[in-house]
Amino acid sequence: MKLSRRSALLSALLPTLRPGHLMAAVPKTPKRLVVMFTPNGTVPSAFWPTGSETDFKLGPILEPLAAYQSRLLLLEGVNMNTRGTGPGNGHTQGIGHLLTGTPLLPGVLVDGMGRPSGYAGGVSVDQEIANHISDGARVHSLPLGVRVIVPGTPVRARLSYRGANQPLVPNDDPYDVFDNLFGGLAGTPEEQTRVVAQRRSVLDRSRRDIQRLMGELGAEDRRRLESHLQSIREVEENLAPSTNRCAVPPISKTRIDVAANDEYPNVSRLQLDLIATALACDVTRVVSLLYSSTQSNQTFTWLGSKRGHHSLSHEPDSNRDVQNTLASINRWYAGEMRYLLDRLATFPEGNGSVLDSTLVVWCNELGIGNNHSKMNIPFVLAGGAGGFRMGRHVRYGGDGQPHNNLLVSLCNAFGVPKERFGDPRFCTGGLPNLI
Amino acid sequence: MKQVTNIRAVRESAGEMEHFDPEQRIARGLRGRLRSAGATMICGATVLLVLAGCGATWTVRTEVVAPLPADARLSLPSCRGGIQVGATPMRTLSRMEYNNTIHDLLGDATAPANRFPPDQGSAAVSQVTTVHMQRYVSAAERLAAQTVAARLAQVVPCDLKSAACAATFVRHFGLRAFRRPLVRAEVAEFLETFNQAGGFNAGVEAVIRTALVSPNFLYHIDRGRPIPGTTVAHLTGYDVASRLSYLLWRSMPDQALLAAAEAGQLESASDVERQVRRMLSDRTQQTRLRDAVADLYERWFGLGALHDLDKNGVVYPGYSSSMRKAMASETRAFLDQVTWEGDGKLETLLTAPFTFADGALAKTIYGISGTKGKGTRKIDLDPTQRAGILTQPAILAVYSLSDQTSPVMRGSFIRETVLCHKLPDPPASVMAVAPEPRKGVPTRERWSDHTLEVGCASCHKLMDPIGFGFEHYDGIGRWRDKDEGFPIDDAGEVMLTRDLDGEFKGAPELARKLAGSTQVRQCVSRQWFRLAFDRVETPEDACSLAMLDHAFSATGQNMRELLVALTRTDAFMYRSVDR
Repeated sequence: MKLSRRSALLSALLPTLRPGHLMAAVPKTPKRLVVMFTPNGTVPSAFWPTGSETDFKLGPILEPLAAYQSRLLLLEGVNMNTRGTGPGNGHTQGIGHLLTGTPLLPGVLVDGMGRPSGYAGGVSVDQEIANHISDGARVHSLPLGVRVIVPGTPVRARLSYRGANQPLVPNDDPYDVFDNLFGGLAGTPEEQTRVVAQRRSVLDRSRRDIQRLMGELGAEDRRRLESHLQSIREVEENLAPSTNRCAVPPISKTRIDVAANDEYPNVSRLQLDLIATALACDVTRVVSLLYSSTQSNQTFTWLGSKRGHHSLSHEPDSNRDVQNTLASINRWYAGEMRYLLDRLATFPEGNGSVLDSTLVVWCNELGIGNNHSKMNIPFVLAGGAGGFRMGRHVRYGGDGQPHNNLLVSLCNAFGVPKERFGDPRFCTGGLPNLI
Repeated sequence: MKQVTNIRAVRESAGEMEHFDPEQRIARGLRGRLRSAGATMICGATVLLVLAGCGATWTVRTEVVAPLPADARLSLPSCRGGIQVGATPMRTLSRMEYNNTIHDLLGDATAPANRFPPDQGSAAVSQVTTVHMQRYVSAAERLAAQTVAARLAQVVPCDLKSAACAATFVRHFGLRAFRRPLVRAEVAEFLETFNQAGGFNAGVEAVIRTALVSPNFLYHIDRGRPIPGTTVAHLTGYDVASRLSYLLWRSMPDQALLAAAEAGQLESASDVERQVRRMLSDRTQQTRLRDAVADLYERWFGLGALHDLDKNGVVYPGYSSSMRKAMASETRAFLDQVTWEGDGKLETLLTAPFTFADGALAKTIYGISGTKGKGTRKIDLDPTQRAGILTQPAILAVYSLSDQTSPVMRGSFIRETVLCHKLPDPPASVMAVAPEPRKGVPTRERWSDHTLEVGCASCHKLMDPIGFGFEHYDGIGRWRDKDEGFPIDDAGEVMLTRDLDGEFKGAPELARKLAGSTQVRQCVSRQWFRLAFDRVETPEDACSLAMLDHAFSATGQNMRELLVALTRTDAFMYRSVDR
């Protein structure tokens, strides 16, 4: 029942967007990046493959990705060495450090664990890359979420950062995302022209007021307003008449409740469809997708689970039942990643598909939930962008590698010349054995 | 000599309470009667008077307040270096503030900000992302159109047909939307927007739409007049009006505050205090005041975590979302009562042997039956088992794990929240693993590794021995006599504090120790500084903190007076000039 309803909704959303709808070839194939975050650690025994670097067998969690094994790169032994530095608890540090490689700043954001903090202390790798590769795309980057409902500290719910203390709010309403990216305005062409002119005028005036204010303010407030100005520019970009390469059919008028626990899978698929379409149509080249939040108590009822994910993640290793449930939750996430890869592969581009020019990075704020481990963060890379040698399970021995080094490698893979990323105390350069 | 500076008159009739400020006429009348009865000289006494003609019993509490010297900072060592304050970052209106402001500005009660992204939690980090901007624009379009369609007269203070009305409207609306008078160039720009729209209604709509997307509406902006030779600016009356109304009501200044700003009557500390007392006693704003202060408490104690707090259903089968809500209601009712109807004292907050629970919670948590009904009622508790806020289930449950208590979480909560002790992070090499529950082994025994191992002990001795004192309460706050069949050992110890070191037995004894501690008093005023100014203090704030602590101490650690004292600090009246 649920599945058929979901299929109906999804097909109503983007039923006819097929490769043929790519109306013109992009002059030069862009590179694209998707960072996908899922919370609360993994179950290592069910996650890591067995076998050798190139000849390996996926475990139960990654098994849904088997069809793409030759295009996967699994990185074992990448540790979040930044953890334990600066304010915050394991979860808030985990998500805040993950893409920025910096400690959280001091602050008053209460986390319910007696470990208050501010936000992360630097730009996130997706935004850094977007700053370099987004010229020509309509939208700089797209921070999205699936049911990002966090009553506690918002640090838990921020993955992407424009800069220190500048978290981006993920949009977790696919209908809203659709409207922003593909939705035109209602009414006759004359009315639409009028509304666009109105919005331009409102935004112009807002910009002028901001510029006036900047003269009166200190450096930190000025930085905050620079970010505001960038947001205004991005809203204006969306006002431009559609120059998409794609003809995108309108979104379904039937709405699901995007905040409801049990709509999680449906919201996920809606967002993944939008991501694939936005990348294929070159609306944007960089996406981050935050599933719920770190420390999330999303309940996976459709997997037969009755308890929140975070609560389950604290059960000991000896609790086999719960460990199996945790593995099935992570396996479900692998299935969502598989869906995204499938979608990207359906859009032909050049001699292959959009997947060839996309790198999807799946990451987590913890290695293991019950001990908040910072070791062995489960990093899964997939796709063709970046020039990495795929189809491998790389194990970094000894003390492993700091995760900042992965952030350096990601930058380099997208042509961003960096030798260090984030806090240099925790960075020694790019990861070895990738290219 | 001490003097009475504040009289609160409380009329109890039909269960309803009214508060009056001493400045109000009726209370002045009361003070006159009290004086003639020779009652004002009784320190801290409660005087019962039956006033003829009032038809009710008036309980008049006289609160003895040691007055601050005319210039308080002269007497405080931290204030000798001239006026300095830490920088307060600019921040946007929170969702609650946006909704309240739109209600007061446009008469719209649809809570439009509920469509905005959740608040970012702190001034230091509030910023307008693309998603915010999109939603600000659509909210402005909708609100402007609806206001013109349904409530035009409410925002336009003049005859629509008169030629001067457009300019009058622009000035009037601009003042309220930007919470300060428009400058000449702004008036001209808004008039241009108005005139280009084509028609009066369209003009009004265009002005509203434009104003609501301006940073002057969306941000809290302190202007102030720089004081030559210093690093600070003295805030303007309009700045102060906004600070007061957003602190106490989470909304734009009302007519009286704007009028006081215009009349130059928000310049001195006594001006400000007069307004604060009026605002605290404004009956029409009681709900907002209480919500605003409840939000400060919630952030202080980290109670936001309760909203999605999950417990292991096998270990705590009675725990449910309705119990969670009942716990939140209990704590809210208790804080409201102590702060607004009770004596307002920190001591009561920390040690009161009563609470406010609904029937189900009274029975499940406190084992008290006979309290019927959905609403919360006052229930008296055994003072040997319970004392104030720290032994309420909301806090005990939040600072526990899902299937057991957590002496570490409870201990670090006390350390950081009421002792302001910043605990160092665990060394990077250590993986924090909570010991698993084991049949027949009590919590204390399982959790003792911390204090035995050399590497962990230096920090955990600061937390665990405090947390062990709470072992009589299980992971959802129920009293228990035994843990895994063993009698509870609730002996605890506080170490490395200024005036609290020593052993204690059980949380109620700890609570009484905390209530008498100078370190706790100073921590509470520091925490409220952080909450009210939405930032961490800096060395430049030393004088403001000293003033705050002085006032808190002089008023017998009264939480209401702490709120007032916040508005008398340098940090409230000045801003730093970072150029």
